[in-house]
Amino acid sequence: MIIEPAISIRNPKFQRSQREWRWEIAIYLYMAGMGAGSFVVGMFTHWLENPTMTIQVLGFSIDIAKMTLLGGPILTAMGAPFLILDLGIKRRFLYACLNPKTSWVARGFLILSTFIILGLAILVISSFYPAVFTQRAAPWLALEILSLVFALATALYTGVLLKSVKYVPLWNTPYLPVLFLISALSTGTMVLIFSTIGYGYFVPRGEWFYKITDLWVCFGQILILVECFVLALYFMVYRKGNRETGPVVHFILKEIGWLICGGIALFSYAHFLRHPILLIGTSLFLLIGGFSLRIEVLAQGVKEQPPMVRLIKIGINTRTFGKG
Amino acid sequence: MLEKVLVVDHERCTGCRQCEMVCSVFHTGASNPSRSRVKVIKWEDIGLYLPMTCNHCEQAYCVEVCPTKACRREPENNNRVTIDKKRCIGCRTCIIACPFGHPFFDVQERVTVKCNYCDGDPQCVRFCEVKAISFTDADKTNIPKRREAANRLADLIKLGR
Repeated sequence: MIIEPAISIRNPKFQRSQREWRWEIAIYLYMAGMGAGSFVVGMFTHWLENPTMTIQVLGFSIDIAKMTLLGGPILTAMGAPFLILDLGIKRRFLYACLNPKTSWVARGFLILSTFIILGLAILVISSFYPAVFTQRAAPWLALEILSLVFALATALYTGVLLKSVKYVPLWNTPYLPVLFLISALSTGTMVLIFSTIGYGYFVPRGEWFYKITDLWVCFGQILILVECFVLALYFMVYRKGNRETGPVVHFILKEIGWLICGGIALFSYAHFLRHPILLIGTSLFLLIGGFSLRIEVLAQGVKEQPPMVRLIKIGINTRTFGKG
Repeated sequence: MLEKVLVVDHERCTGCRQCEMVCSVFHTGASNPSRSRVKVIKWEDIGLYLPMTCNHCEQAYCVEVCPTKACRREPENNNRVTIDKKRCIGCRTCIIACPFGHPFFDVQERVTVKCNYCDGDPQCVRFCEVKAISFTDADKTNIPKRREAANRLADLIKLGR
């Protein structure tokens, strides 16, 4: 005889945070945002500075500067299997794109797939054939712009997916997509700093190395400050409109506050000292902060109570029910 | 065809959870309330019980958010909203989207399940001893309430005489 697991009866006295989307979805959203953000920042850096660093590997000449700048799609592709991991029946994952007309999960599937395909094509071609970039033919530039648009759409999508859930007040706010977009750009910048300084230890650093690292650190600082501002705005607006579930804000801040504050302090200090190891450590610190933000926002999504439960609660409070 | 809906009378419900039991047996073959499509919410301190089933909403968010179109409306079958198990991927988006927290994730089958009126013969209605759940025409759902109010009024009039 098979004994099946039993669940406790739902107790309407307590509002529970959602348990349907867990760490797998948090990693999926984080990696998608981080990869897209890194691609956007990398593409702008490439347009502005066009750094090049060619090395020979097994007879192939590879531009590792381009590989670092445009490596975002790899991160997004690494995150995508986590969505599949979360599915009940994993082998049916291709069905997830059948309803793009109304479903944001389906739209996301298509947006991410397009970004990964376009981004990887650009990454491979530019890493192995750097001349394509220097020549800048019109169709190639169009492809770059198109992939940039899809990268921005991917970063924005991570927030829009949660915003589309109408009955979770913490998610259903226009501030969330903005917050996740800025967080994607900041974590993307941190990945670029982390990887560029990291490989700087193994290959000779070009002239451009210090220039773009400085550029990214400045850009990262601005982004983190904007992120803090949007985060504060997001929490303030949420607390104002949701008195019952307002304490979740304290909980989230308690979990991620020290990471963000510590990251900002360390980042400023590392920039001041220009110490590469400190910069790598700080980037890691802020990357963990970005992940914590997503996992906490996801975990604290408390659904509004069903109307009939609210009605009965009002009845209990006004002593319409339970007199006897 | 006249549309029928499930109507719950919380004043009659005793919280026996027989509806959960028969629902799980009918749909899964197992006597396991955690796999039932109806769930009884309890306020034990005041003795109030509310069996909750799918409302088959006019604007069903589960249908809207389903990425595979597994969740769909069937106008030919009491306008019910059903989930096609062969298409469902178990993403649980419908569970998150539903304001009533209705569709449930079946841990055995790894897909989302919901009330489908047992194909026109709801077992919860059939086995409810106190008739707390009924399956009635959508435009007649408030008739028992009206009748009850009329009876009370008649009693009051009688008392007045």
